[in-house]
Amino acid sequence: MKDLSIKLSAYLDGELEAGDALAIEALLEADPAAQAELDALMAADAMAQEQFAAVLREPVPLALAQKIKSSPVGMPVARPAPRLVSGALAAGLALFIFGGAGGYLLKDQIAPSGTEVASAGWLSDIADYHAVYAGQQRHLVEVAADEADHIQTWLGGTVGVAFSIPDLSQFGLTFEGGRLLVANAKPVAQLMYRLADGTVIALCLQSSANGGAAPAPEFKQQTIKGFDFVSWKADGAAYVVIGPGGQPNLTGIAALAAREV
Amino acid sequence: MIGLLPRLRRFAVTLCRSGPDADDLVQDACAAALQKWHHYDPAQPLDRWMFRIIRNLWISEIRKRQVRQGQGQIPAEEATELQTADADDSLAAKQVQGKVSALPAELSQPLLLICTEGYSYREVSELLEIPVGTVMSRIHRARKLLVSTLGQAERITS
Repeated sequence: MKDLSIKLSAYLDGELEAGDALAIEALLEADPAAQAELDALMAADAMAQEQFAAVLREPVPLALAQKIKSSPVGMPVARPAPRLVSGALAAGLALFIFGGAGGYLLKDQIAPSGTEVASAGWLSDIADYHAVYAGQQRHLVEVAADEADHIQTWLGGTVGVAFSIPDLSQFGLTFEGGRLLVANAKPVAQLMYRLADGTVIALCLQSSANGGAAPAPEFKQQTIKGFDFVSWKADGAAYVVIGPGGQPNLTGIAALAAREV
Repeated sequence: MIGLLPRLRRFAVTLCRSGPDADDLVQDACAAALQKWHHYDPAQPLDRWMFRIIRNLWISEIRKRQVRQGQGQIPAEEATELQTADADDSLAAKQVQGKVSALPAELSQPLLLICTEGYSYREVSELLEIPVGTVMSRIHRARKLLVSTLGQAERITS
């Protein structure tokens, strides 16, 4: 049975030769015990995927992202202290040392080619922010949704773009609140929404000299650093909706946001 | 690279079993990658290059620790985790808590790479520097251990 179980495991991964796979499929039809064994292996896979996905949802420590982001190519990352066996102490020390400098450090950029650039497009910055903040549970936003009026006044005034907070509930999105970001050395308003499964979708906007008053915005879809973007410009502002790669309905969400914002 | 951090941390966690240690490892790996960026082949997926750097750094770290502990030099394939009790005993001792996180690194890594990252057995073999047959037996063993914890959970529930 062990040899069969190993074969079933390989079958599950698509690693058997065609002939062996056909033999396994015939066996599965005829032998309930073999099918039960396969079902058990699949249940183990489901559990593994669920638990690995949970790890992925853990927030990336801001200090870690900041240190990597601020490290020029060819230079070692400055370590705050030798590796500490006590994880909690190491994390606390890193946050203490680097936490205060975070806002400044995060505005620096490193191009994949290794050269520092002044501007790689605001969407690249937005992707970096989303990678860090979308994993936050308790601290997803700076100002919570129950202060919607304040968010509109504060972020609208800082960014220089008056806006309304779109109601995206028809897509299952709950408004969680807002954050102030910096991209391309300009302030960005980030409005955060969450699906019931925890997926975070953000609407970001900043002022733009090229944002004309076209009757219908032109939507542009891009995938940057693993995230899907739908961006458009209108009325002196640039907008983007960002979600995980492969996120369904992102264009529909963007279209609704464009009407309501 | 920043966008990859959640996945790099997850891979590192399967090695270190500690979030803070994994963060240190990822930070070191990113520093190493930036230092030798000219070695990176853009035709190669960045995540796979980073996984390899993370694993190599971890093996180096474990070797240092084990030498310090008087265990001498050990081959790479045995250096993926700190000295622990037998995998089955260790898992049984933790009962059904932790489940995947309770698996030894030699089993949780193939499980992560194949079930979640979509690696083939051949790709896992190359990354972890173990034979394909070993990959096959390890992922099977990982699944069977998880099946056994599921059985324990059902018995406890009932």
